[in-house]
Formats: sequence, C-alpha cells, structure tokens
Amino acid sequence: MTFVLEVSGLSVATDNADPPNCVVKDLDLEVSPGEVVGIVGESGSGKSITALALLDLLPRGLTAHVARRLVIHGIDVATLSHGERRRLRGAVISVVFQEPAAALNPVRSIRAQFSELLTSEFGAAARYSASISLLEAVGLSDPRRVLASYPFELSGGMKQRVLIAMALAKRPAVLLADEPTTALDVLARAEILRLLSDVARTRGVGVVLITHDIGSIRAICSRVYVMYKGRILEAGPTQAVLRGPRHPYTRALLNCILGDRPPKSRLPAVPMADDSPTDEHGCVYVSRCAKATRACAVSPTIDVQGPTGSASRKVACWHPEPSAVHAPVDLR
Amino acid sequence: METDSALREVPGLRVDHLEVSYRGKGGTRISVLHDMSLAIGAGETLAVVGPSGCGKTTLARAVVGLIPSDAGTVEILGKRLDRGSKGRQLIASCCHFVFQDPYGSLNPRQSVRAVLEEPIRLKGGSSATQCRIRAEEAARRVGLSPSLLTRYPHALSGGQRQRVALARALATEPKLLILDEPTSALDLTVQAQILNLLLEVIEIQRLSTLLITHDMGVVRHLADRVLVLREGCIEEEGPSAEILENPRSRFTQQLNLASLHRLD
Repeated sequence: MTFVLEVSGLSVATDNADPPNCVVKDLDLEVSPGEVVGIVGESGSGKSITALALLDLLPRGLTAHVARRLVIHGIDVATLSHGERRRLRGAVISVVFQEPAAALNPVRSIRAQFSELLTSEFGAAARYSASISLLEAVGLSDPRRVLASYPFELSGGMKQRVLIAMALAKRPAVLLADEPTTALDVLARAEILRLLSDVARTRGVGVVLITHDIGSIRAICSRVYVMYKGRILEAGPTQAVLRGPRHPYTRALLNCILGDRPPKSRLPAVPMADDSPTDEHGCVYVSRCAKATRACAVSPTIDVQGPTGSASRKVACWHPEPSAVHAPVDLR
Repeated sequence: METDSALREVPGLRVDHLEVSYRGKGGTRISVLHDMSLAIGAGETLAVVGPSGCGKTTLARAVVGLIPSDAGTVEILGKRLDRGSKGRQLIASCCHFVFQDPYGSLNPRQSVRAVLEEPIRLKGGSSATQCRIRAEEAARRVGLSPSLLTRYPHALSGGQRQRVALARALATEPKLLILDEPTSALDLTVQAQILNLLLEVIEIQRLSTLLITHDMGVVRHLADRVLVLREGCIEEEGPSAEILENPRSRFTQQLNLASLHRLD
C-alpha cells in the first residue's frame, strides 16, 4: 500500500532552550490517497505546529527534525534543497487555514487573487475560465459573481470554499485542513466538511483534518490520531477509537462530550492541565491520569494492536483500557 | 412546572416588541431584530440559537443597552430600562455579560486580582479588605488557583481567561447573566468544567440566564427553553427538549442535524 503522505519520527523543538523544548515529538502519520485522516487534540497539543512543519512553514525559533522518513507523494523530502521544498508547497502539499477572512487579501478581488495563483495558465481569459471551473468544483453556484467580489462581500462559508478552491488549484496530492470550520456556524460547518470529504473521494487527494472537534472527526475521517502535548497517544480507525478508547486521555476527552447525557447533569471532572514543563522521559499525560503508576515515569512506546496496516490500533500507554470492556461511548 | 413558578416571580429579564436596525447605504434602515419578545424567569436559562448573522449577538447587546433600540421595552427585575445613567446603573447593579472572546474582554494591563476586584469596588459597600476577600472567593469558585491572581491576561491560557471573565461576572452576585458563546473558544475538558460551574451558580443563585450559542449540545445541557432566530425574527420558541427532539420548523431541523454532524 503506498501512502500519499508518510511521516515517521517527526519532532519539532525550540532552538534556544537548553535542553530543547519538544513541541512535537516522534510523530508518525500515514495518509492514503483519497482518505480523510483526523488529528484531534486540545489547544497547545501541537497539531497546528505539525501542519506547519509538514509545509516547511515553521515560525522562526522552531526547527523540525525527521528521525526516520518524510515522504510526500513519493518524494523523499530529506533529499530536497530549500528551493525544491518550497516548490512542493501548493503543488504537492497544500493547506487551508482556520480563519478564512484572514487568509484572503481584503483589498483585492477574488479574481485578482486567483490570477496571482494560476501562473501556469497563459493569458487573462484562460486564468478566468480556470478560476471559474475551480469555484464550480467547490460547489459555489455563481462563480462569476464570486470572482468579481471582494472578501468582505462573501459569507464565511463562501470564503472558506474559495480558499479550498485555491488550495486545490495546482492539483496537490495532500491537503492539510487546519481547523477549517472553527470560525463557521453549524450550517456552513456541515457544508465544508462534506466538501472536504468529496475532495478526497473524487480527486484522490489525501486530506488531513486538524481539529479539536470530535464531531467533525466522526463525520468524515476514516482514521484518527489523538494528540496531546506534542505526542500521539492513540491512533486507529475512527469508529474503533471513538467507540472503544484505550488511552485514558482519549477516554477522558470522550467523557466530556455532552451527547445523550441527561440535561443539567454534572459532567465527569477531568483534572486541569498544568502548565509545568513535562518530564522528557515520562508519559506526557501522567499528571492528569488517574491510572498513573511508577511505570509511567518512562515514556510508553506506541503499542500496535490487532492487524497491522491501516486498520491497526496504536496506544501509547502502560495501562491501556482493556478493549471492548466499556460500554460504547455515545457520540452524539 | 418549574418554568411556570419561575415566571410567577419577577422575571429577571423581559423584552417586549424590541426592534433594532442599523443604518445602511444611502440612509436606509436595515432591520436586524424584528418584534422580539421574550421573558426569562429566576433560575431559568433561555438559549438563543441560529446561524451567524441572524441577530443573536445584537439581541444580547441591545438587551444591556450596548446597542440602541428603535422601539420596544426591556425590563430587568421588573424595572424598566431607560437610556441614560439610571439605566446604566440598573444594568451595572444586577446584570453581567460574558463575551465570546475572553482575551478581548480583559484589560491586558490589569492583573487578574484587579480584574476581579473592580466590579466589587464599583458596586460599592465593600471595604478594600472585603473586596480582596470577595475577589479571592470568586477566583476559587471557578477553580482558579490563588497563584494566578497576580498574573496578567497574556500569561493565562484560553480556558483560564474565560474562567476569569466568568469569575468577574459572578463576583457581584448578579441576577441576570448574559453569556455570548461562553464555551466556543474552550477545549472540551475545560468546557465540561465551565458547564458544571454554570449549572451550579444558576441553580444556587437563582440566576436568569440568556445563553447565546450555536452549539446544540450546550443548549440541550444548559437551557430550559430555546428560541430559534432566523434573520432577526423568532422562528420558533419552546422547551428545549421539544425544540431539539421535535422541531416544528424545517429550519430548526436543519440546524439540529447540522450540529449533530449528520451529513446526509
């Protein structure tokens, strides 16, 4: 099975701290063509930094290090020069960010912003028709009006569709969507999720959905990675992970979903996250974990369970919850 | 039942035929809220839901006089809210607002302690020591450790900031609480804690709460009644179980389905 994105041993660390403070540590991620994969985590878990590292867009002061391999669409990124890596961006790996209003230039029309992008098309007329077909492909019913508009004349959902069309303009193999629906209302959110799912299915693009919203993950992702303090704590097929979480953190996260709980009932309390730096060697969740023992002072290795390949479950815990003992979590 | 008895007391908030409009291009008026009437009893929570642009936030702001209204009346604790200093005093004495963005609503140059002491001092009747004690008490209630009191907003996480905003709102023991998307900026585990806290204070202090949100999960958990807004008009209103399980309007059904992520 070939992956369109294969990451093995990605770490991101701060430059100036000694010892370096790891924001992302030893991350593995695999995405097949046409698949939507989710990375779910709370704020500060390092999920956005992961996306920036894959795009080679890390802010100053942070450096990515790949321990084993980073292969995007069959290209081993380690062998590329700086310029070649830059050319990968947009053409092979593309991105949609959280705030559609901030990603568009407020003083230029959508048409002007498209022609800046479509450098391979020769002539204004060719660029115009190419933009129209891109906008039609993301479900905008009146592309001519959209092209003539400025960003402030479009709704949040329309702006996000425009940005997805721009991200797809150079036919990338991988699309990273970093909280693409957080700034949108529920109706627009459902539409954008459906669009991302269609993009993966019809174009064979590997989509990585980065979000804190478990509902979005459940709606469109075939597999999910649960991230906490820069580490992947659990990974596997979405249904299996959400119905039978094995890491105590995943379990705690799912317990906070309101779902079918009786209205006005008290929710199970999770100990607050502390902002103290984590011990480099131990489990990152140890200070909040009810099951922590002395073994947790050593970082647990990711443990592969069940069949290998894309259907496998991975849990980084010394005391994983036994599978299928708990009643399934209601995810509504 | 509980709702009925709550309404027999003086309602915390009563809005009658409120109209709000903005000035559009060429001096025309654009109606944002049309013929809005609602009442919230003591200890009761009313959720206002709808897609962005439907007027939810405008309603919350017009109720506390942050946006002028064209027509209609607002009564808080049975007292009519008029423009001018009397109205502002009435609001300051019994009503508090928690905004969506906790960072934008905290003064970056004020420590957490100063943020919490200010409303208590402004309400009057407390000595400096009492202000101090009550601010600490307010922080403790939302689960903020005393060591955070000396910090400034930039040194707090999003969840901590929202809890500071909530502690500030609850410090003066208001009777009417207006929450504009109180948990949408928060992580799931923090949201759970904030919801637990809100349920507790609403029940114990018999707070009337106006909850603005588009998260149907939060609505179902917190609200007694739901009001669905569509383009500035009331689409439907009723007990939350009824609106969420058996909505009459097609629009509310769409809203419910979308928030449950049923994509087909």
